[in-house]
Amino acid sequence: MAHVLVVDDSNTMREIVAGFLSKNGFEVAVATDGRDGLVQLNKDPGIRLVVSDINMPNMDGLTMAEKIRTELCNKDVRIVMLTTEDNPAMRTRAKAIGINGWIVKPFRGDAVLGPFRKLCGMG
Amino acid sequence: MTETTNLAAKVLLLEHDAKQYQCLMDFCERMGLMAMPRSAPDALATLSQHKDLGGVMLAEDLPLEGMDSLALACSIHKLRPELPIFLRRTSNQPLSEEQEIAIRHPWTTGDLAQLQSCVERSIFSLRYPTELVNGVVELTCSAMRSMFPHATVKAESPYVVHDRIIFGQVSTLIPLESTWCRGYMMLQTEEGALRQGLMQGMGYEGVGGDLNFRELNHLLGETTNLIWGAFKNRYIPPKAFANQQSQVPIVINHEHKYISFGSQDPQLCVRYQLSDPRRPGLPPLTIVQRLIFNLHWSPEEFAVFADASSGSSAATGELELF
Repeated sequence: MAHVLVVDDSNTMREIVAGFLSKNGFEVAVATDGRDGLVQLNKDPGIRLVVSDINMPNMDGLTMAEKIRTELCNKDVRIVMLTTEDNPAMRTRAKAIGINGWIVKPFRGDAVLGPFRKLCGMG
Repeated sequence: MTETTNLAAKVLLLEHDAKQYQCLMDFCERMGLMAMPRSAPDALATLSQHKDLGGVMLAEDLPLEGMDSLALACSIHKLRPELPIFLRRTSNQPLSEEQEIAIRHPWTTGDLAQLQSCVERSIFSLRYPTELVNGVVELTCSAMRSMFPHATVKAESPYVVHDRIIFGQVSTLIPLESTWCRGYMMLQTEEGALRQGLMQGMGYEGVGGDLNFRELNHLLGETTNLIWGAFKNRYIPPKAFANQQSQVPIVINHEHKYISFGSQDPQLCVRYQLSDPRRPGLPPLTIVQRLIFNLHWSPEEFAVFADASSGSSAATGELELF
């Protein structure tokens, strides 16, 4: 079972995204902000995909992704931003960091299920 | 020039003269005012029921027991000082200082041009571009449909309010900043109605847990976040991004005296006691201060800053000549 970490400060979004992924065969962990995301990822090396919001208290999603690539030296985990942001400069920064994908909210499960499966190597 | 929308506004209308009443109803229709005609004795009760008014219109010679129209206008002003009051003058008697403060827009009976000028100056003092109003409604409906996928979402005609009273118990607040604006957006709703809607299945199945007030706060917070994101993507040009900082909605639940800045971190809190030295036995006034660094917090950077400024503080209350 592919292991996904959902990082969002909104309880509601965590429930929507994690609920959808769980129903569709993913094992899901959750984190409440970027700082918590790093802790969860460190605890569980089995995580294959991180789906993260950007605007969060304590640590935003882009900073978290940057730390995953640089401080944790984790180049393998796939990172997708799920955000209200559609800012070209942020996308450019995301690409430079090594983020694998970008979804502008609202979340539409049917639109991401296939790509998420591929990113997790589920065929 | 940008095309602006002729928005509506609700006004409380207190008028007993049949001819003037009709004249004012026609005026309101022409100006886009939604008149709420009431009898003078019901005025204060109506105010407590309607928290989204744009103003109050009343005649100077309303038949009232135990008080006159001017006193009623002062009472309305005391209750809701933000509401402009339009007084139809029927006498030449000068207004007292207190009455002049309460009644900002007296107008002479029959002079509708004067009334129109007052309404335009006060109720419709800001003009909103049609494209913006329509766009905000469209992106908000879209965000609401995504958060409440099993609900039918319809927007009523937009209008302007001067009231500052909050609707319902749950509200959110988020800054809106662009090259052309700096301000806030709020969502306000009733906790019970929100819970009921979710119990009926308007939202996502399984989302919201036992629908306690915190869950409801989160839901409105995320709806705010979605609207804010869509607003940013549509109305904030890239050149404004240099100064853009990340934001999270602030959620307030008045019923439970609850406010969330989105972070679970402890807040720095100081309580201040203000007491009357002449009456030491009386309980003090308590003022609570909280500092919430929810979006960025770096004590290390503060230490660097504090070292550099080495404890010097700006002189206050002194004139500095350049």
